[in-house]
Amino acid sequence: MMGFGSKFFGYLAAFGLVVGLGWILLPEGWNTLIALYSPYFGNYVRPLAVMASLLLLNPLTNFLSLGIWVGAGFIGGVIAGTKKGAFVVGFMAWISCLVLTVFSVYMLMMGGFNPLALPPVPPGYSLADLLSIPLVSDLLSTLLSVMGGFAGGGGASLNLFSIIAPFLVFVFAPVIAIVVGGIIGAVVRPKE
Amino acid sequence: MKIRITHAFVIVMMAILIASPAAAAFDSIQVEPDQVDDIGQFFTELLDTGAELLLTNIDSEGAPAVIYGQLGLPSEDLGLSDEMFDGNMAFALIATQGELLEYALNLIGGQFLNASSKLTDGQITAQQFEGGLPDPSQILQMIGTDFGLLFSAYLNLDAATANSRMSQVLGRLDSLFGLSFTELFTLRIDESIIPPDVDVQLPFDSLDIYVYNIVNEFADTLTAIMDGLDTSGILGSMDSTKFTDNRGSAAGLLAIPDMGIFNDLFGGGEEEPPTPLSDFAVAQFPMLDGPLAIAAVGYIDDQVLTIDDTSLSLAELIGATGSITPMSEHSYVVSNMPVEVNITGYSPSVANLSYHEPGSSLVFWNASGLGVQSDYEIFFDDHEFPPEVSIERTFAPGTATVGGSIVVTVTVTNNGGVSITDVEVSDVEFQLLYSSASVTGTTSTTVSTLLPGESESMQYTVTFANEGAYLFPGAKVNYTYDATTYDKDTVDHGFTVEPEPTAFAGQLLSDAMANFPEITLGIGALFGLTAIYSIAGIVRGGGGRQDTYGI
Repeated sequence: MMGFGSKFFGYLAAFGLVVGLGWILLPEGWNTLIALYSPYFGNYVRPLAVMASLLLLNPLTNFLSLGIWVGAGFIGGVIAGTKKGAFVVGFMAWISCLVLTVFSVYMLMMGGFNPLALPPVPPGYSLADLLSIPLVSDLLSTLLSVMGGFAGGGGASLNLFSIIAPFLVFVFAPVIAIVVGGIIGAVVRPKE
Repeated sequence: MKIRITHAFVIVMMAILIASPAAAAFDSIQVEPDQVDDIGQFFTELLDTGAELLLTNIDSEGAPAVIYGQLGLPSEDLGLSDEMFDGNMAFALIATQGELLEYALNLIGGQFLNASSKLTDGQITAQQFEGGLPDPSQILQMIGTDFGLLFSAYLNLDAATANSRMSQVLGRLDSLFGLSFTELFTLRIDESIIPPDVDVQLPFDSLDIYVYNIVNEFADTLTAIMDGLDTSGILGSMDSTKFTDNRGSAAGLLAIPDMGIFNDLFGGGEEEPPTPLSDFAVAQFPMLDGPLAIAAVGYIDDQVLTIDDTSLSLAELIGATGSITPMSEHSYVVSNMPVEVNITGYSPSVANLSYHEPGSSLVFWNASGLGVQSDYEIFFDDHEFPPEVSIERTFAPGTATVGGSIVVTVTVTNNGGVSITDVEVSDVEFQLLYSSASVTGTTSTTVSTLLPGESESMQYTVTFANEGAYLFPGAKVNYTYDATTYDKDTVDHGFTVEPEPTAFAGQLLSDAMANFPEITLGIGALFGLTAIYSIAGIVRGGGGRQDTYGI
C-alpha cells in the first residue's frame, strides 16, 4: 500500500487520536473537576474538559497536549500523504474539536450548568487539586505577565492586542501543532 | 451561641497559634507593661525550653477527640539553618483525612463566627455567601476533607535562587521523610505586577509563594510532622497509628526558619505603640531570631466508653504502651469529660501538680512536674455512658459505571447488654444532594425497641445517570437509653461512578439528533458518502500503484 493516501481516513485517524489520547491522558486536576461536577451537570463535563485541555494550549509548558496534537497530525499526515492533504486533515480535526466543544457547552447550558456552583467534595478529593490543571496555572501566569506589561511598558503603550495576544497563542497553538505534525508526516511518507 | 467547655480544644490551640509570635514580647513592651511582661516571659520561656500540650475530650456518647500540640524548636534534622532556608519566611505542612477539621469547625461553629448557613441544595455558590461569611462547614465542603499540602514562601530573592532553594527543600523533605510533591501553584509578587498608576508600595522587594500537593498517604505526612518535632516528651510515647486508623485525623506543622526575617518584612514595628494583640505580636518579631516550629496532630474516633466502663485511660487514647515521659518543662495534659459525668477520681493526683474542681468536667495535670507516668486516668461510675451501638453502611457492588446501580445497606446493631428504644435510622441526605441519581427503597426506618445483640437493616438502590464522585453524607441513628436520646452517624462515604465511553458515544448521537436533527443527519450523510467514496477510490486504486486514489 505504498501509494495509499486518503484525507478522509487521515482525518478520522487524527481526530480519533486527539480525542482518544486527550481523554486517556487527561491531567489529574481535570479528572478531579470532572469527578466533582459531573454528578450535578451531566456527562458532557468530561468532553468539555478534554477539549478545554486540548484547545487552550500553552505550547511552552503543556508538552503533553502539544505532543498529542503533533502526534495526531503526524499520523494524519502519513495517511493523507500530501502536504496539502495534511493541512486539510489537521485543520478539519481542529474544527471538529471546536464543534464538539460548542456542542458540549450547549448541552451543559441546557442542563442548567452554573459555573459558580461548587458541589460538596467527597472524601478523597480536594478542590486544591484543581490548581494542578495546567490551564489554570498558565492563565494565572499569563494574567501576571499582562499586568507586568502594564508596569513595564506604561499604560500608554498598552493596547487590546497586547492583552489578548497570549490568549490567541493558546487558542491557535493546537491548529498550528497539528498542521505542522501533519506536514511532517506527509514529508516522511509521501503518497507516490 | 453559648460557649461550652468543649470549645476549649479549639480555643486553646488557636491561642497557642495566635500567641506564639508574641514569644519574645518581654523586652519591648509598650502597652500595659505589667501584664504583657508576664506573657512575654512566659512565652519566651516556652520557646527556650519547648512546650507541649495533650488535650483529650470525651463527648456524651463516649467518643474521643485527641489533640497533641507542640511549640518550640523544630528537629535539627530539618536543618533550618542551612543555606536552602535562607530567605525562607515559613513553610507549612498540613494533611487531613476524614472529619477532624469538620469537628473542629463545628466546635467554633458558624454562629460562633456570626455566619449563616445558606446551603440549600447541596451546592454552594457565591450568591449563597451574600450578606455574611460562609459557614465554616461550607468552606470545608469546598476544599474537601482529605488533602496534604505544603506551603512555602521566600522573601527578597531573585526568582532563580528562590526556585533553586525551594527545590532543595523538597529534596530535603524527600530524603528525610520520603515525601513526594506535585506542584499546585507558584506565584511571584514584586513591583512589576503593580500597575504604575496604582499607588501601592510593597513592603518587600519580592515574594515567591509555592504550594505543593503532597503525593504520599496521610500516614506518611503525619509521620513526617511527628519526626520533625522534639520527641523527648509525650510525643515520643505516642503511637502514630492511633492518629491514622480512625474516623478523622489531621496534622499540621508550621516552621519558621528565622523569625528575624520578619524584621525585613514589617520594618521593625517600632514606630507606633501597638495596642491590639496582632499588632503587638508583629511588633515583637524583630526581637526574635532563629527557628520556630508549631505543630499539632489530632484525631476523633467512634465510641470508646460504654455503659460498663468506669475509667478513662489517656495512655490508651494515645497508644502508649509503656511509660509516658513528658518534656522536662512546660508539659501539660488536659482532659475534658461530659458535664453530666460525675468524676469520682483521677490519677495521678498530686497537690499543686494536678487539678480538678469538684463538679467541673476538666482535669489538669502538670506533666513535667509529675515526671514519668504509666498513665493518666479519670474515674467515674458505671452507666455514665450509653451501651455500645454501632451503625454501618455498605455499598454493593463496590464499583459502578454510568447507568449502573448499587445497593446501599445501613445496619444498626445494639452491641450492649441492655435494650435501647425509639431507634430511628435515616440516610436521606444523598438524594437531597443529587437529583441526577434515582433512589428507590428504604432510606429511613423506625424500630421501637432493639434488644441486646439485635440488628436492624434497611436497603435502598441508587442508579447513576452521570459519572463522577458522589458524596454519601453519614447515615444517622437516634436512639433512647435511660430517658436520654443519643445519636450516631457513619462517616461520610465517597463513591465513584466510572465513565463509559461507548455509552457516551450513544448519548452524544442521540442528544445531537434530539437537538439538531437536520444538522446531524446532514453531517452523517456527508460522512457516509465520503467514506463510501474513499473506500471505493482505494479499492479502485489497488494498493501499491503510483496513481493510488486519495481524496
